[in-house]
Amino acid sequence: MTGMEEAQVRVGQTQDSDPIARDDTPAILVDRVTKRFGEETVAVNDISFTVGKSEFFSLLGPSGCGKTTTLRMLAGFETPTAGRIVIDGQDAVTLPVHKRNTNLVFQNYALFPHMTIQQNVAFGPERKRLPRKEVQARVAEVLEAVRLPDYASRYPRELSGGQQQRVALARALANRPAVLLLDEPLGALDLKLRENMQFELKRIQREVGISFVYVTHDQGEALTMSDRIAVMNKGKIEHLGAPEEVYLRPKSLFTAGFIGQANLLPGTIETQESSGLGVRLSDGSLLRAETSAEGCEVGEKATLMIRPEHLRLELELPGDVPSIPVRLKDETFQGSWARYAAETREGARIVLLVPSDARPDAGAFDREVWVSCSAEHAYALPGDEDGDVATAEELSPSA
Amino acid sequence: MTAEAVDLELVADRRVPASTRRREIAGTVARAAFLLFIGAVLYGPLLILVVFSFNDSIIIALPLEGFTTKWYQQIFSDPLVIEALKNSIIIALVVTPVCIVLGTLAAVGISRFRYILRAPVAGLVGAPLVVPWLLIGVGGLLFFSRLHVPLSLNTIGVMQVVSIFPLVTAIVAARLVRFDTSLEEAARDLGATQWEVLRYIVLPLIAPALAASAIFAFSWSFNNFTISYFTAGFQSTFPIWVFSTLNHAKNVPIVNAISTLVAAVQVVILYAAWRLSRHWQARTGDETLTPEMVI
Amino acid sequence: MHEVLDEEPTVRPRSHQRGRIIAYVTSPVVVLLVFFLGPMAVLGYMSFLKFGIAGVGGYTGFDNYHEVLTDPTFWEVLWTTFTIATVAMIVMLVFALPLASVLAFKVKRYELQLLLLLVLADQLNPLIRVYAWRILLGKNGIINTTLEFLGLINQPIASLLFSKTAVVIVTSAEYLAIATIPIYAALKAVDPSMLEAANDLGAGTFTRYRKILIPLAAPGIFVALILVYIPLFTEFLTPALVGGTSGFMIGNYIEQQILKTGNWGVGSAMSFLLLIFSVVFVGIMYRLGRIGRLQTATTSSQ
Repeated sequence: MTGMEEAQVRVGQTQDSDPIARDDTPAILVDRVTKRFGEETVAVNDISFTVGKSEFFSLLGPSGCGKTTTLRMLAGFETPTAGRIVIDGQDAVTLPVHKRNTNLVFQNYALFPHMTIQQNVAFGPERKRLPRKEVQARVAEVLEAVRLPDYASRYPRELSGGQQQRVALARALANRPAVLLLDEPLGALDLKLRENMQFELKRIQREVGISFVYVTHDQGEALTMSDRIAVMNKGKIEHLGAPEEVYLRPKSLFTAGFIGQANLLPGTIETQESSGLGVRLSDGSLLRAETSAEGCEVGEKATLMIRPEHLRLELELPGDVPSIPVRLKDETFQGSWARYAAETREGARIVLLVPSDARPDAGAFDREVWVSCSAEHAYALPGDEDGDVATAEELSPSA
Repeated sequence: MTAEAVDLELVADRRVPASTRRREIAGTVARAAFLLFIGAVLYGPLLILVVFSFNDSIIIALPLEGFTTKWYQQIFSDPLVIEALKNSIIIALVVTPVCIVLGTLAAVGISRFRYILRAPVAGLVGAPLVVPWLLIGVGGLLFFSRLHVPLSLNTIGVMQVVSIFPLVTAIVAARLVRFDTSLEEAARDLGATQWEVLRYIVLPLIAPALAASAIFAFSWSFNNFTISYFTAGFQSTFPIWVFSTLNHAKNVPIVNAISTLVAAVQVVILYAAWRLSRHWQARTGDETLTPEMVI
Repeated sequence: MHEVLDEEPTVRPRSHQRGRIIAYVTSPVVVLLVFFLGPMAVLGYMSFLKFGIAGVGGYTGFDNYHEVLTDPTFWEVLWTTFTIATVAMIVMLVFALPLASVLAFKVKRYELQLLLLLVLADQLNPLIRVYAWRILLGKNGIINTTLEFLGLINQPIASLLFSKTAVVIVTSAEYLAIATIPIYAALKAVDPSMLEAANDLGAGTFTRYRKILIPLAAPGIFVALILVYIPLFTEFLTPALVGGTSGFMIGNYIEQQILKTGNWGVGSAMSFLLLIFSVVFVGIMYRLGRIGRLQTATTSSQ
């Protein structure tokens, strides 16, 4: 299993594909929302989605894709140019920020520097004019939930980044919002801390039971924590679905390239059978794809997506499995795996992962070898009209 | 062993030849002497003043005659100087809050919003800082006489306000520009109304800038001579009193005494203000306070 | 239904913001219009009126300006003013540059305290400071008596007081702090390792100053010029107290016209000319020093 798949099992994801919501009334309904800045810039272009009552929902995409703008519209800091937003049953567009039933955890935490942790966390409940006892109880409760019960009298600058992050979370949770909005909250933390916090966030979400809308550009993070992910690009949603579906059966080329590492090999669909599609690659190799996205037609252009870990290195031409002749170019040792960059006869780049103990010797670099892929691991997507087939290197962010 | 090797000294991890060490020490001594010289130039005259304020002689010249406090006692029997001091303080007490209010309003209006008239407004607010005080004073005098408004403490106050609130604007605007707006957004997100945001987030965080402005405005107003001189009526302020006393009488030791007192009070107040600002700095974690006070 | 909703305008109308802007900006602007532009306008207006012993006269065109510009005393006084102001400015810069650089680079532990002492010196009452200098500079003042005592001179130096020299000395001391601080601020923005690198590469003190320090301090020097030169030029208090007859500056001349001889027409004409000079000077300095850039640099470096 890859790390991603392990993480899925760890946190106990469900396996169903594309659930709309766990409950009847969604916590958030976004209906054909567009946001324009000035005449030219369309930050968000006609998107729609719902968020269920206890769902961990992520908005995932590269910088500038519109995910933060969308989040800010949910929070109320931006108003949609068109479309409808309904939060907890209420039409939200007319609601000002301070009256909404959402709370935002800021990327830079935005803790009030002149107030103690206690005062920071109590700020929301106090604005609601709750009695003092209740305010104190809530503060204690959320500080307990984020595991910082003894820090109440400290000031934000005395805390580490991770601790400040948790205070920001506590401060938002103290208001018991219907939906918690999080704007890339783990961006400033180092790797180990980030992984821990991912766990914590998921745990808290499960315990408290409210919906989380989580914005991130880190696809690993989104895959680990979310119930459903909306992959965004240039203001549109490319794919909305559960992490497994987004990873294994992406609906668009962008998604395929953005999520995880992928080899994207251009070709044409030659045959269509019950067992899958036959795809002729540009170098002549014929591969089979068991699964495919909508829109694949015989005779049309297509792109074959194969994850690096699903390619097998064959030193001799295998007879029974479709394979591609390549020359190995580069080896990078990555711990339990070794990563190889290879080139097809046509010069296309292919990346594959080989378990460390199964690495070939140096002689494999001097001659032609083969990479094979069984049909169950190959996935076909319709190639774009304008030939916009990006390579694995171009689309996927660093691993 | 060469002479050079013998001359080497170990300074931290570096081997520094003795000549460099000597140069370093000479440099430090020269710098210290320079700083002392500057200190003497800036504070020397004042210290002499203090010395002579206790000197038992009407002539302000060496040699020193003996210790006395009679000049200080003379202060209390001179109604004019008490009156002048009182007027200066009253004017400063009125001018300061007005400047803070106007200055902050202008600062917010200029730095927070974008609109067509923004540049002209900013220019207008900055203009008094460019015009020499002499001309503001003369202009004020002519203005009030043209409008048949008699000169008084009020006219002094008004012209002082106009001259100094732009500086408050500059100080506060500099703070506002650096203000982290995500703090305000967070407050609104947590349920604060616009007014509550101002009260709980913005004002506490710009309070140090406001305090610095207040102290500055107060001391500027109290010390102001040029503008006050031209727009004053029959009542005088402390600087005006000193000026006319010096012009009409040759040796007036009482001036030494009162000057020493005023200077002492100013030093104490400014020191207290500085300590207070350090305390505030520690609380809000705002590290830019002193440069603001200075610039 | 979607089509109807598509036409919905954004909820927050622009007028809401406009109201807030007006609320903030109105009072300061009104105060300035009335009590700043008003006096300036009156000043300009008065310069076109005739004032005689009979009182306020009528419109007299550019007569006042003509009178001013053909007045030999005016030019004499202007020349004295220019000399004093320029010499004082130079003296100040000679001391301010090293002072600023010592404060910015060399005194680590005491930097804040020394800076505070500098600021403090400036906050004390100018009347007191000028008067204190008067005591020092007199014929029987400390400087003279000390020099005599040390045997360096035989008689007291009369020209120490009530002279141009006196004004230069006193104003240099008075404005030194104000001149130093902007230079200090400009230097603070500089990486001190640059000076060390120059030293390392073999540059002597003088070269270090010329090639590195002064160019880096340049924006600060221009700010210092703006903050100090015009006030120096229009000084009135110091020459009145220690200038005597030879240290008579344009500020005193204007005061004489306005308050002593009641010749408001001529006085305002002179003032207005001075006003134009000030504005032009500041404008040129601002441009030369590219101050706008300095401001954005300091605010954005936060």
